[in-house]
Amino acid sequence: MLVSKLALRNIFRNPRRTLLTLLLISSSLVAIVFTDAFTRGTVQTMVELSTDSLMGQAQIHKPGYRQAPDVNETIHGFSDLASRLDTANSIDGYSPRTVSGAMFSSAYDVTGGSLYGINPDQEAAVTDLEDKLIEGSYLTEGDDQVIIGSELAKRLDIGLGDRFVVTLSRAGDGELSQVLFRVSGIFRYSDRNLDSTLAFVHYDVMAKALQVNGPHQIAVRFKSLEIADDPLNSVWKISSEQWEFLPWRQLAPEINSILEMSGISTMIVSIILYILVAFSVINTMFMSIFERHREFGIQLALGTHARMIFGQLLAEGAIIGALGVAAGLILVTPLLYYGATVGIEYSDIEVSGVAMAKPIILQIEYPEVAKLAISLWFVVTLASVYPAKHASKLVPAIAMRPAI
Amino acid sequence: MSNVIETKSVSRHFGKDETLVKAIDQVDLQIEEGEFTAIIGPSGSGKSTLLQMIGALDTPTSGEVWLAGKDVSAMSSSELSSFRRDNIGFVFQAYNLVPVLSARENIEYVMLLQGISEEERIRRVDEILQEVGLEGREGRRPSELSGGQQQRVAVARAMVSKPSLILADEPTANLDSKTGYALLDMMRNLNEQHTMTFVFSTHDTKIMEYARRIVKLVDGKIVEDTLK
Ligand SMILES: Nc1ncnc2c1ncn2[C@@H]1O[C@H](COP(=O)(O)OP(=O)(O)OP(=O)(O)O)[C@@H](O)[C@H]1O
Ligand SMILES: [Mg+2]
Repeated sequence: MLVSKLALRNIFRNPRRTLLTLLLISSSLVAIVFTDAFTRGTVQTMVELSTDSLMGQAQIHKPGYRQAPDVNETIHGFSDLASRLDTANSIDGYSPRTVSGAMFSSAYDVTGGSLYGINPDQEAAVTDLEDKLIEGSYLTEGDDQVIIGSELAKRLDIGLGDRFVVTLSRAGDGELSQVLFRVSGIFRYSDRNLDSTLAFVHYDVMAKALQVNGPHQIAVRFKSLEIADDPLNSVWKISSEQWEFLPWRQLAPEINSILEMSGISTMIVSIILYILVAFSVINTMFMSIFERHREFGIQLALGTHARMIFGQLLAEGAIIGALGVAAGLILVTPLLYYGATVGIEYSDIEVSGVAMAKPIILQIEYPEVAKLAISLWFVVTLASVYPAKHASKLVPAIAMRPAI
Repeated sequence: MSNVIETKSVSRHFGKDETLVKAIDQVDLQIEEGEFTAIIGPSGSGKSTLLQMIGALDTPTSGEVWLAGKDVSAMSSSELSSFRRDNIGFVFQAYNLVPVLSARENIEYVMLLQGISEEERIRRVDEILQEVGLEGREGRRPSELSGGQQQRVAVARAMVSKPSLILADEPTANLDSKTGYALLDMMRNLNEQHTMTFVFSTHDTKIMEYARRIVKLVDGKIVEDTLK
């Protein structure tokens, strides 16, 4: 009672000093919490962008195909697999694809790339290819339709309706076969790699040209992205000796490692700010203690135990910490609200190969915010231990020195 | 009568070698219950240091200090805190009070440490406020009180927990002479009514007149001890 009364009144004795300390604590919390939410948001956006694009949320291949892609290595027992995918209730859609390296040529130029054979409707249920068209239309009926990336179109100097000749090597005998297509659509992912190397045609047309009777790859989209991270979900039972079924984390380990490292940026920002806050609290408390030496001398002379002086100063630290953290949480709320609803526009900047084509929506992880707030409070309280210890060791005899 | 204070060859030295200061040097002093004693002497003669020793605020370099029959020179700092709380009241020269507490809260302070009930605290504070003539001002912070009023709050605080000994180091030094005499008058009345032992230091000759015994220090030694 007495301790908290003394602590509280001393805190508000020098309002400017207290305010500055509170400002430092609260703005540090704002920075830490914002960094955390922003990093999570960036990662989330990156993951969404990558899983919405060609990769999908998961893929199925014949085991070994990913290590050494080969047109001969199609997925066995596809109809069997398809019926399992159709009945799996955590799956929203899947898109079987034939995939092959190919030579693309126009009347003017020639370049290498990858050709994908897709069933347009199935592909649309899994990836955002259709949304990325900037010219023309998505694959419809015509067997000679192809949609190509914007960079590829530029490279081959072609546009809608132009001829697009694909040369590829057939399965089995490896004989070259040439197929003529006409550009029906041009897409742009704002990702140089995708935009300059990919072309999509109808699945059946490509399967016939390659002479394969199954897909090389099946891209899968779940009912929710979390399922991809849940190894206990029954959907993974599809994975077997003949079907390698992997979530995006394993398909794109580089994105996964950015994700794992993203926690580090919050940690670094927190550690720097924790140190800053700790030193500033120690400094401010010492300043205030030096001004109050005589008072402590008097309190001690009156019979106050050293541990009560210690407790009083620790309480001052804890209260300042709590007020600073509370102020920080109040200040960060509108910022988070804005960032989590409107989002932060970052358009067309590439982060680790993923174009940030949509605003970053801050991801607020409440338990994490609580953890960061509590740790900051703890840092402030801990920082006051040292000055508190100093004050509790003062000798009561100072009370008798003439007041300065 | 029993001794409230007994020092046995008490010394307190500061520094060492060339800078050695024998602030008090082998002082033997006995003070009996109910005395009203002044410690006088020139500046630097060791008055404050002696009061620190007999107030258990500091431990002697050598010798013993017995207060109320206990050897305080052998106590730990925590034991000393409890001992001061229960046995000694202090009045210092100035800025005696805890600035963030009101007059009432300052007076209550020691009783709070002692764990005295709220009812009892209120009763005793009201009573002592009347005795020191500060009724109606108990809600004020020290900064809202005059120097004389602050010293009276300090005297009230020193007395309210009913210690056996009250030590005052130049309690009037920061007051004008009229206020100083009034404070001494009050202290002496309280001394007579409550039979508390008062020891105070001063170098004001008129203030000394209030004492019944005058102990004179020079260079850390007692050179005169007059009983009136
Ligand atoms: N903490 C200390 N460190 C070093 N020397 C000290 C300390 N306290 C007191 N002294 C010295 O001890 C001597 C006695 O000091 P003290 O304060 O007891 O004198 P005093 O009689 O109270 O003087 P005044 O009338 O000026 O208050 C002085 O020479 C002083 O400088
Ligand atoms: Mg002195």
